[in-house]
Amino acid sequence: MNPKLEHILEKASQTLDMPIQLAAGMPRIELRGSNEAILESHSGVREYGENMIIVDTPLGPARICGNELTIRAMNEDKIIINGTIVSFEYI
Amino acid sequence: MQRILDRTKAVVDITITGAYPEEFINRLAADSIPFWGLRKKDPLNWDITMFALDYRTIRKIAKRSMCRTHIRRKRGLPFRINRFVKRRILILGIASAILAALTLPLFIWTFEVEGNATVSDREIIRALDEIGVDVGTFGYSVNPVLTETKMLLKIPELSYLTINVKGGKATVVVREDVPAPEVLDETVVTDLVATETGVITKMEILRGKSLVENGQTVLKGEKLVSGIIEHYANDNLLTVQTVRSMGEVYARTWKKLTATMPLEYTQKEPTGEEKTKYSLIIGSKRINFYFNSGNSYDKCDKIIDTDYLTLPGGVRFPLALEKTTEKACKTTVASMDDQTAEKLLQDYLARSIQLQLLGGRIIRTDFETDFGDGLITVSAVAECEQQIATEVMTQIPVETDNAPQ
Repeated sequence: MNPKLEHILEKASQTLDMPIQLAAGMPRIELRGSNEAILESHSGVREYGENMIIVDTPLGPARICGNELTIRAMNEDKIIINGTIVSFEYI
Repeated sequence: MQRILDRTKAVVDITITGAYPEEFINRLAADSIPFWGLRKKDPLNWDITMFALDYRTIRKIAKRSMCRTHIRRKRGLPFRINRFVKRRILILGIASAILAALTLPLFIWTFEVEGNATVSDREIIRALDEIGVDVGTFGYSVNPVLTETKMLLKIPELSYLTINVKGGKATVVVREDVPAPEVLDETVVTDLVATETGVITKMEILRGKSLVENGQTVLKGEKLVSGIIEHYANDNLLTVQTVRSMGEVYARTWKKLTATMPLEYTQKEPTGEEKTKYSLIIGSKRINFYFNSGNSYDKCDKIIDTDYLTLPGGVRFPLALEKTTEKACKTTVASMDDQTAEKLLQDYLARSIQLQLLGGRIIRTDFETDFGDGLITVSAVAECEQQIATEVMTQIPVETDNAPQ
């Protein structure tokens, strides 16, 4: 997405009090405890391993580190990761 | 509930083999093809689970991703049904069982009789068999009204009969006829006469004129009570009353019986040989599992055991296994000791005398035993007390006119 357009949408969502990711198409990560992570708005899996999963997002690749990581389910918009999740970071 | 529904869907467990399986699953996600259970076996082989219907569409995706797919396992109700449909014998068996369960209860397989006291179950069931209602009869063909009519004609002791057929069992409910009480004809004139010679011990006269008294000796046939009663007043005959004599007269009587039997007798002794034969009984039909239906030995004892198939609760099916055991035996001559023979004859004589008394009692019995020519003879003289009065028609004297013409 165009960075300028992205900035405008971000400001508009803050003003209208709307969820930012809905307005800007931002990725959303939901962590349930440390065993499950639900990532919305992704562009696909770049790398998949037991200790690390790299997922492409609109903000760039996101790396999830942990132990015994598995992709429980995946569709065009959402990916559910199970396992012992240690960290999440954009790289 | 959702889990149960999920198990009914056809799913396949597949293995993706390729240099870059991530590309494959990204394409699946982009095409909105759901999958789950992703497991990385090694860098080149990944396992996933997806719907069987979607599997047909992933070939192109696999080709574009330069991956191969291989089905490891098929799960779900549609696959189970498919495997089941190929087992034709099983389907035939299940269909036959369902057909049997639906049709067999429509026929009569067992009978139950209720309400009978003097007429036996066997007699009623045999009579039903004779009118065409037996094992194997189609239940709906039995007409209760017609059956009742035919059965009441066959067994007069019954006053009512109905038959209910349900679940393969025919329940026959009967009511027996209550016989009408015997009405005494009070117009006849009868006397009571003695059936035995004896000494009168007790008299209970309800009607008639007593001609004897306690302690009197009477002979057999002697009149005890008269049905003609003359009423006098001052030695003048007033009236003659005729009645039906009624009463009981007890007397002490004596009976003598003799019995003879040989001391040697023949008896059966088993030889040890035996043979067992089996038969299958289905309703009234018999299937023998042997060829020779006659006795296996010249002399033998035959023991027949019939076991019917019975469910817990007492429901009996018309299916039985009959076991016939033939035990060979030979006759040998044995002799009885004197005491045993004497006791045997004494008991026999006592029973015979008691049967003759018809309700009386034996006061005392004296036995005399005699042996000779291999025979034993026992004589019994019993002192008894019994009712001796019996009713006979009165011989009423008829006056004839003897006037000269």
